[in-house]
Amino acid sequence: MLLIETFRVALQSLWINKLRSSLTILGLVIGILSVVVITTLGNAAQADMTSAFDEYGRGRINVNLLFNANRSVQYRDFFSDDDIDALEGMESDVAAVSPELRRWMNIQHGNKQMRIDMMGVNSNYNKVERIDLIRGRFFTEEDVLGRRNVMVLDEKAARYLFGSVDIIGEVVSLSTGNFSVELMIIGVDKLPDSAILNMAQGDYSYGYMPITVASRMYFTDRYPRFMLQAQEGLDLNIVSERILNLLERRNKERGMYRVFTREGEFNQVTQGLGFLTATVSGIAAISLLVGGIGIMNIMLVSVTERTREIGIRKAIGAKMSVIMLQFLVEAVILSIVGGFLGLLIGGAISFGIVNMLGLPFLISKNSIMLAFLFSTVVGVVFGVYPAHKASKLDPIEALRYE
Amino acid sequence: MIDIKEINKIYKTGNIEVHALKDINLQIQEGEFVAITGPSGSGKSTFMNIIGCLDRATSGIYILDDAMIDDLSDNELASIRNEKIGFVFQSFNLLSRTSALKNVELPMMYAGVPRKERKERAMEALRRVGLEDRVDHKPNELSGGQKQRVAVARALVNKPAIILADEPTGNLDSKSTQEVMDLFKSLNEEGATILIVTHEQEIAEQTKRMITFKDGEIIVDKELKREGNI
Repeated sequence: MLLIETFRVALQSLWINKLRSSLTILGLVIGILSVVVITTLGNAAQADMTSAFDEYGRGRINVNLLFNANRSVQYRDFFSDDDIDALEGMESDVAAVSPELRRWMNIQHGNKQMRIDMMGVNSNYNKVERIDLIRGRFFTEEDVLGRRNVMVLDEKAARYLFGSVDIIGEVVSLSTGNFSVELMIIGVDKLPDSAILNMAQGDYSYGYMPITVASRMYFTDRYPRFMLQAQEGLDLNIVSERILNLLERRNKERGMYRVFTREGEFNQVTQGLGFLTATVSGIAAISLLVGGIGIMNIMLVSVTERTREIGIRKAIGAKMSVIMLQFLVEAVILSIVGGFLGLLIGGAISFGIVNMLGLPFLISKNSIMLAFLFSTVVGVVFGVYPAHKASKLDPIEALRYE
Repeated sequence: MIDIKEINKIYKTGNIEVHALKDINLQIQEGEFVAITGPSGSGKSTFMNIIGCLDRATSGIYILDDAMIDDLSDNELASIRNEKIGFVFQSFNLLSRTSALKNVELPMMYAGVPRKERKERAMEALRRVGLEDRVDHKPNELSGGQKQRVAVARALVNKPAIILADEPTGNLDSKSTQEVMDLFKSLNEEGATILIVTHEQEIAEQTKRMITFKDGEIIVDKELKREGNI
């Protein structure tokens, strides 16, 4: 009963000082807004990374020859076709394996040319890495074994060189050092869906050619690296260990290799992102503190201004708790309205940004609750002192106040 | 109704003690109409604050309507003020941005009277002081006399044991003064106990009993014969 009245009176007196009230909550609005925007963007980025990871990286293991190990690298350290075959033989652990020979090359069509990351891989590669062709096909075992001069190009390079993706059957010239080769395009790979990955890649472009063609170009039949897709549901650490054991049996020295799992890399990236989000929100949260101090300041002014009103109310029979409640409710209304506006504006801004970047828009119930909880707490914490001060006023003094 | 025994009030500022009230003894019965007069500094305002439960005596006993006031907490005093005392101040002390009606409702709000009843009783009180056509006006839209009548309506709306008026005509012209005094007289006719603090002899003479303070003591306490009828 009295609480409703108190609410009404509080709203009324805040409404009378509209400009002052809105300026007071501005600090809190900005604080909540920035926390909302930052956490929403952080969450969106993480969700984007996770879905990208689900598409591309689960169960993926890379084994690299280390060029900076204790001793210098020898010919026998590289992986041979026999090694790859042996790995393929681990059928219960391994779904697919592909060696990789990789160089930066010049790719040319007509008078347009660009740098491109060319990867020589085998026909299993599309089981290891997600290959999502928008045109044509990936190469087959026949292409690989027959050393056919074919290649798959990414969408970005296709659009740059040809201005189109309808380029199946076109021939491009690739060169590295003093060696060059002409390859026919048989497929075009789609850009990843993940906005973050696309952004991170910048103008990076890539292509795939049969490993056999790459071998011929680079004059080698051994590979410094292979990629492997583990069978579903296996613990990648155990699979990695088994792979190293196999390599050891095949006379390879354990210390010369480094095993990467995408999961590990992914966790590092998302952890980093999470930490960054938390830190920046923490900094933004400082503005909430500033907002709270703003509320306290204006409430103190209000108490002084309304000393006479407080005196009248007390003389007429308002208890200390009633006066206290009245000012506290005012402070909490200010802070909750500030929190609500911050949430609304922050949500709108982050929706805009996230849409622009093509990220998923996720605003969690938790963060909404947190914003409200936090602004209420700010209101109570910074409202208590002025409210207490008001309730303690001596009615005789207060009535005399001009 | 009011029973005051051996009340003393001593103010201390640093080493200086001011003996504002000295051994005051006084009884006021229900239905009385009393004026408290005296020069400024005589202690009449201090006395008024104590009777109004805005301040506590340093020593002595104060009984208001069967309640021992001396050992009540601040919050209990607030309740007493709310239920038993109606204040009328020299400077009106109305909430400035609030309508006459809401001002009159205020004491009932703190008494926990339901909304609907509150409004009805406030309307009735405003009708009693002749302001039924001014209920939605804010204090700055009312004349001095009208403001003071709103204050009187607010003072009587909770049916207090006593109405305390502190220089109620001090800020009014002579016409409004008479209006307000006539209002007090007729309220008293209807049975209200009224205590007016004033330094104006003409005001005091319109009451039924005049108590005069000087240097913290009561020097005169006499019944007055009312001249004429209202």
